[in-house]
Amino acid sequence: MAKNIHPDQRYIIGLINNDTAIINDIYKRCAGKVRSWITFNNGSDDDAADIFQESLMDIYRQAKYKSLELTCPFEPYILLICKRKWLNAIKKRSVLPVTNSEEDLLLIGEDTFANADYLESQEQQSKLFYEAFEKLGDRCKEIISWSMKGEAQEKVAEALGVTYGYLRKKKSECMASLVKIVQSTKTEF
Amino acid sequence: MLNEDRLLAVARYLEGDMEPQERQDFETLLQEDAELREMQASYKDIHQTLKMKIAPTVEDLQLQSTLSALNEQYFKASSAEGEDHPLPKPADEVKVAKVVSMKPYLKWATIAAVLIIGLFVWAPWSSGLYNQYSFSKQMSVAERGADQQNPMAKAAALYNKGDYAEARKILQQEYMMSPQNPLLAYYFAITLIETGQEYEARTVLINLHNGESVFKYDAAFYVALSFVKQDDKEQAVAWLLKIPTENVNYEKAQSLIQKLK
Repeated sequence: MAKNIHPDQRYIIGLINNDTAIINDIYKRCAGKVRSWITFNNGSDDDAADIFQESLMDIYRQAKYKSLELTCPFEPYILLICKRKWLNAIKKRSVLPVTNSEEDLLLIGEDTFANADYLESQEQQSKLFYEAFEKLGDRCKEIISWSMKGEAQEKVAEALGVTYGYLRKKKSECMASLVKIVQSTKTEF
Repeated sequence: MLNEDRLLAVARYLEGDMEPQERQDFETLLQEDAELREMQASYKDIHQTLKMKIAPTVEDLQLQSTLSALNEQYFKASSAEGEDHPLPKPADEVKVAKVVSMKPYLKWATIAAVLIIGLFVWAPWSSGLYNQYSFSKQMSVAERGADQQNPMAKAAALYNKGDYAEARKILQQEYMMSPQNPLLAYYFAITLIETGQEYEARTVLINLHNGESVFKYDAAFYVALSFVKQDDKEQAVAWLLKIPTENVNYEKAQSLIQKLK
């Protein structure tokens, strides 16, 4: 996929590096807008804070683990993500939003929608994968989470009271069944 | 091959569970089989995605605490009216970060709880070279009168008694609040090593080593020691070699390298 990375990718890099100056800049530029939009739409300051933090964490995780690349300006991107998150949240609370079109906040380019859609679909996918993981047996869950935490396999084997060879074999089997569960849920649609 | 067998083969290949010959055969197969390549790509995707959900790293937690601090500053300036209707969320979303200051700590506690089980099993391994060469057995904090309530003083007392597990609990909280403090990061990392969390310890130490504090090379030495503890000699030596000749620990590093060979 040929992409033109937007210069605002630097905000994303700032998040990855936990660069306080850049992150503070993000807050300075966007926090007030998110806050006033959410409070205007029946939310509290705390709601706004949670939504903003969640959105930044979503972006961070996608960037760090799945090399998210931004092809649109950062500000409308984060605002759109926050808005959607909040609209979803109040749908669950069954509160009617004051505004329900997405264009009212500011002029948003198509590429911003595309970027936000992508993040949303990634989040949905990650939910799906996690649900599949939850369906695995306890032993498999244990083995997968241990190894994902980056522990040496010898140690994991020792801790679980199995041999190294067994652990390796079992881990592959567990991961294969996980992928199989994901495959089967995908074809259900 | 059946779908299941193919999946298992992909898993075994990517998890490094194949013999060299089998590996080679599989790679040939991959080149010919587009569907298998697709399966491999989706395996990697699932693996990565899940990893980010179930195994947050120290960096993830650090960012979480940076955001929490900024949230206080930018969102909590005035009203408290929102407190009586917290946002309802599906269970899996709650993990992201609902309660601003509590959540990162809870996450840590969960990781710690899981890892602490390992402590009892692994601790015996850690004797030998690690104990012989670890030099920061005493934690000293700046005197602050007779203030016993100061968490750092408390942590130091526990640390110096060798109660690393308890010391770690305090240092962890302090560290979440000020991850930039090198002294804190350094001793926190050591308590992590002592409680069998070498991997987490290294993320903290490597950060410290990349900075310019007085702990720069002490941190490198402890990264090496964490590998010693895990019996990874090659990595340990690589880290020891980073310690320059003019450093106080140079001799010690060289002698440890000799023993590891």
